[in-house]
Amino acid sequence: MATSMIIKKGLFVITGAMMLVILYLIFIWVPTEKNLGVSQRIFYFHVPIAWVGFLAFSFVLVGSVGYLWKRTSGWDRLAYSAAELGVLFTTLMLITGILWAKPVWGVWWTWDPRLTTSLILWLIYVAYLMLRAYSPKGDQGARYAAVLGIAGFIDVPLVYMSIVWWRTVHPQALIGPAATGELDPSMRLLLMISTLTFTLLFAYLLVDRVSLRRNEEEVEVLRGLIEPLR
Amino acid sequence: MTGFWPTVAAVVWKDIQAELRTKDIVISVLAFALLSLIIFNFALRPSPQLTPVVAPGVLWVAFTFAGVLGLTRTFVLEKEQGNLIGLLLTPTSREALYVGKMLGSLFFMLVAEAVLLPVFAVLFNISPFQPGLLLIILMATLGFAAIGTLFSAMAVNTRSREIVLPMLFLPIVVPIIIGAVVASGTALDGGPWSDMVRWFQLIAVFDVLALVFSAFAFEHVLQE
Amino acid sequence: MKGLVIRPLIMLLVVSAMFLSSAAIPAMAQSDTQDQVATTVSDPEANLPYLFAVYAVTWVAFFAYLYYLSQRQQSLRRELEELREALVERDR
Repeated sequence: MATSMIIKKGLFVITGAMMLVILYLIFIWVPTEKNLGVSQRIFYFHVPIAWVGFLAFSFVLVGSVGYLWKRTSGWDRLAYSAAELGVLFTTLMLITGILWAKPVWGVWWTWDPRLTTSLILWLIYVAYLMLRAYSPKGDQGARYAAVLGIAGFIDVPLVYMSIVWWRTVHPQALIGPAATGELDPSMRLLLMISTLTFTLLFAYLLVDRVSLRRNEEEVEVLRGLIEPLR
Repeated sequence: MTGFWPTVAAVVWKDIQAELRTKDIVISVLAFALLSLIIFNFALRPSPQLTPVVAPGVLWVAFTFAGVLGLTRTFVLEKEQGNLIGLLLTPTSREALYVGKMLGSLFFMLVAEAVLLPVFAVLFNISPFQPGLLLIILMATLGFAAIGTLFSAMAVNTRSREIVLPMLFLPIVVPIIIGAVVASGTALDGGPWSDMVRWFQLIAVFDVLALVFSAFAFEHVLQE
Repeated sequence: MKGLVIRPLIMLLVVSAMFLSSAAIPAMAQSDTQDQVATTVSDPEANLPYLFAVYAVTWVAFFAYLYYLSQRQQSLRRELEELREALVERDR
């Protein structure tokens, strides 16, 4: 019990420190991109947040498979918590993307493959949370959500590869397995640091949410014991 | 121990008989789709030049939402009458049950679509009887039935199943809808097969994935 | 009580998003979005408000979520206490 508290506190402090660091790096240190101006710095929010969203949904996949296989609640806690966080990060990805689009493209939104598949991704995992809310509690709800958690993940590679497979106005990848362009070294460094920061934030939130979930489950169990007697 | 296909046939036959009695699914699918077609006409008010442009999209929105309506009902009868327990107790494989329910849903949706298509042709002044279009409709509806049956089995046990099913179903079938709309557009314009091929491939891949996944996942959904 | 309001609101939001998405499908069928792009900005500082908005939204979102987590943690702890006491009472 004590070690998890130490881990949590440690994560919190490190994450907080790193957020301050990238604050400086994003706003002061990194050079301005010559074509897009100051708003290009949104890149250092938008891209890491998107990646962490995908990471979260892969945790949902792992948790879902694990639950259907082992039927222990730890896997389900992981799946649910990661799904909630994934929706949070993906929502931010969409909002930051929209805020970047307006100055650069002149429109808030366009039905381009990358944006469309991303919106679908968001809808799928919002549906996951809704399914959870409306399903019976306990094993049945967890099973249903696990099936959706596995099925929905197919959209993640779709989102990622959409800029490779189809014509799109979304910028081509500058880094990673699908990269076609090049990134200035200082920008690449900052992107990596920013990604690390948001991943740490995700780790902290995940640990916190999973322990909260354990409490939620315990309350449900106790309620189940008490209610019939009232 | 009953075999796979006899079980499937039994399930399909039971569903058809139930439907013949109540005509519940087919009527609601038809009514809703018909109303959608009409409303779209008032919403879009397409000029003669615009009509061929919007027609495929309108058709597929009508088919999709009507399909959702029909799929919601797939397991309602079982749930209300408690047949689900009975079905589970028989020594049939869950996959056979899934295939049976899926084929039943597919059949009802195709029947409704078959009635709808002439109406659509009249309202939008289009000749729909192209082999390409009919094939697309068959393949896309199969995809709907494949994944819809799985989600319907889940939704029937939730509160607000009329909202839960579309929420689960619609985002996942978007690739089918996109493919169907584009390919239908090409087919209705009399375009070449080569233009449609990759959309057929997309829908085919989706259908296969949906069928395989749903057949396996169905077991996890059905346990009480 | 709050749950009764929030859930239908979320439902409404999501269903609206889905309707909007489906309305785009006829549009997607024949649109080619290449022509909507403008990529160069004359004044580098011009879009600062957008950068600020991104930053603000990100921080507000995470703070709100952290706040939500801590509130829930507290109320759950209280409820656990009450339930445990009720259980002890019952066993007496």
